[in-house]
Amino acid sequence: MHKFAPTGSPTNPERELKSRLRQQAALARLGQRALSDCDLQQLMDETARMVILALEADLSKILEVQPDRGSLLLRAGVGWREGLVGSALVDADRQSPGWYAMQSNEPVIVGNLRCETRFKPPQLLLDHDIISGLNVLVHIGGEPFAVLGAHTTRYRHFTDDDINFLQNAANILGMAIERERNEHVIRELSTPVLQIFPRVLLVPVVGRYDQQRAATVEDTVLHEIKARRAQVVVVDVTGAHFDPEASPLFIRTLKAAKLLGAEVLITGVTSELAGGLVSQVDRWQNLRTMGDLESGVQEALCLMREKTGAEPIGKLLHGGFHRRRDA
Amino acid sequence: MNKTPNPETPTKAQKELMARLRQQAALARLGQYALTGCELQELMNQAVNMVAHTLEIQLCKVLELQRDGKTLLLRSGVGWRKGLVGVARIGTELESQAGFTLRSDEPVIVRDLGSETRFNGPALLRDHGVISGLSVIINVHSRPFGVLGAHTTEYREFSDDDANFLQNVANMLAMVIERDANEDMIRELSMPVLQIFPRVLLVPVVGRYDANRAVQMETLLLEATKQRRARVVVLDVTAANFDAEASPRFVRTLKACKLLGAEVLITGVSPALAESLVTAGQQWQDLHTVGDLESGVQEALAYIRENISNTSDDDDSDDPDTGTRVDARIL
Repeated sequence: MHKFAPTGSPTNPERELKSRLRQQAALARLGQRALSDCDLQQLMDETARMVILALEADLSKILEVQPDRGSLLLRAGVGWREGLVGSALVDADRQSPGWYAMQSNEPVIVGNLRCETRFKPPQLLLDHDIISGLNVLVHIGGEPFAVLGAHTTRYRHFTDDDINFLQNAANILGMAIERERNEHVIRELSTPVLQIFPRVLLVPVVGRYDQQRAATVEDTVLHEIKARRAQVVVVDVTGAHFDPEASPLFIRTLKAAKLLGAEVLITGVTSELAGGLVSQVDRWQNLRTMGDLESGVQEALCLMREKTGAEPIGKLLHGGFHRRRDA
Repeated sequence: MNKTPNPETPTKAQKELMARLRQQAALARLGQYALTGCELQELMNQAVNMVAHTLEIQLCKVLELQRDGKTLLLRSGVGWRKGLVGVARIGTELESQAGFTLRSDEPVIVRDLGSETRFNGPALLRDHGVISGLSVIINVHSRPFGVLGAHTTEYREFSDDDANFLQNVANMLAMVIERDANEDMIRELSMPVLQIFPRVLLVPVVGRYDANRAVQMETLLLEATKQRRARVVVLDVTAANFDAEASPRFVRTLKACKLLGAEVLITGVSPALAESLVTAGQQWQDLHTVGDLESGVQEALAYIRENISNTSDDDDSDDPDTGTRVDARIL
């Protein structure tokens, strides 16, 4: 495992000091960018540009490991011929540098690509007259996600100190990618819509409810109401934490649901949320709330009975699962 | 390798260069550690130690802004008197450097706390003989989580370059804090437990179900079953995405649930899950599956009717074939 230790063998310490200080400042800016709600592709592009400036390199690249691990995609980069970034694929088979990097699991310094013996130089690099280079891995949860690299078209002695800098940039990228993945999962999970009876939907809202989430919930709920022609929607907020600025959006979603013809019941309202809602929404009276989910489900069944005149549960099935066993 | 003109007496630039190189190396190690999925408290402890060591200072701390917005908790630190870390609190009002940092957009450098005019030194710093210091915000989602501070007990001129280094450490902490919050949310979201009727739980399993989730789900499901004295658990897996290795654990969880006295009904089984349960060689015959959620809820009610209403005291001879009577009882 690489030790990430400083070396420092400068012939011109004043000049190198300046360059290292610039690197640290650039990393701080990149970190702040990653922490703002910045698009991942944008962050990759910025990283590629930043690497060029901070290392005074001619080319930079972010090669993303493809799902089959057989190739790497040039996701971002500077200095490449037009049309390559976003589409060029590099082999990750045996003898390729990508394979070597993943295999050794360590930063790789290339002194002179033309004399390289550890792997076969890929055509993409040779086509751009690359001589020296430096590659580090972007890891997420122990898995290699990408290779971040810097290259020069003249001989350049890259040091362990350069590795440290580049690895710091790769770590920021790794954290940002991890965040994007998590956010994707959260969006996916955020609103299960459960049809518990014919035309009756149950929507449990769990976890933090912020503006972004509010938009997802609105889309999903309204879409499902239409698609399943729901007449009653029970929205259970027992496990939700509302951001103050998101509660008006929540009310808006409920109103839109009503416009689509569904009766909306809110269950599990905490005193905290009730306070927040009452203070800002005068039409709060129009929303029907019930203490707990059970009562909400009962109320939903009553409503269905009123609306349709029929028994929503219908004739209960007989010989249910508990009997099947005996059969 | 070392071609410096005077190897004996390094110049000022050489010394600073070595210090900066050490910082960058230490930051890389911290980042690598953060990416292994470490625990937040452990990362904070490593970070304060690393900062104290690399900046060669006596005191370093992470302060966490409390919910009231008025106090900061000494969440992690090095160099402080015993018993303070995890306990000590300071105000965010005018008195403290941390409070001032929270209100300013930039790192705050203090040359001499004694002659500072922007804020009073809080007791915590004065008690430890702090003279100079540097602090930066740990921002998560554009909201302050807290402050990372470095302090010395002798005069020291901190530079903007030191501030950049400290900000880099704070950014790394912020990213891990955000990751933790996201992971908590995913856990919470992935399996809400919904009591839809007395003693009937509905548990929708959403998203990827892997070995990790299987363990979480087992704990959660068994606890909820016991706590709410559930008789029927309807487990809806319509929107779940099962990893093949996780299915044996899934079956085990359901059996444990039964031991606690609850019938388990699984709804929304996909062909792929059915296949993996069969190939897992489990005794899946014991599992009760129902096509869709709606039918599952109906079966749950039928079960409750037969098993609870028959044993209840006021049981009488109403026509058992109509659902209305069950309704009257349940509703």
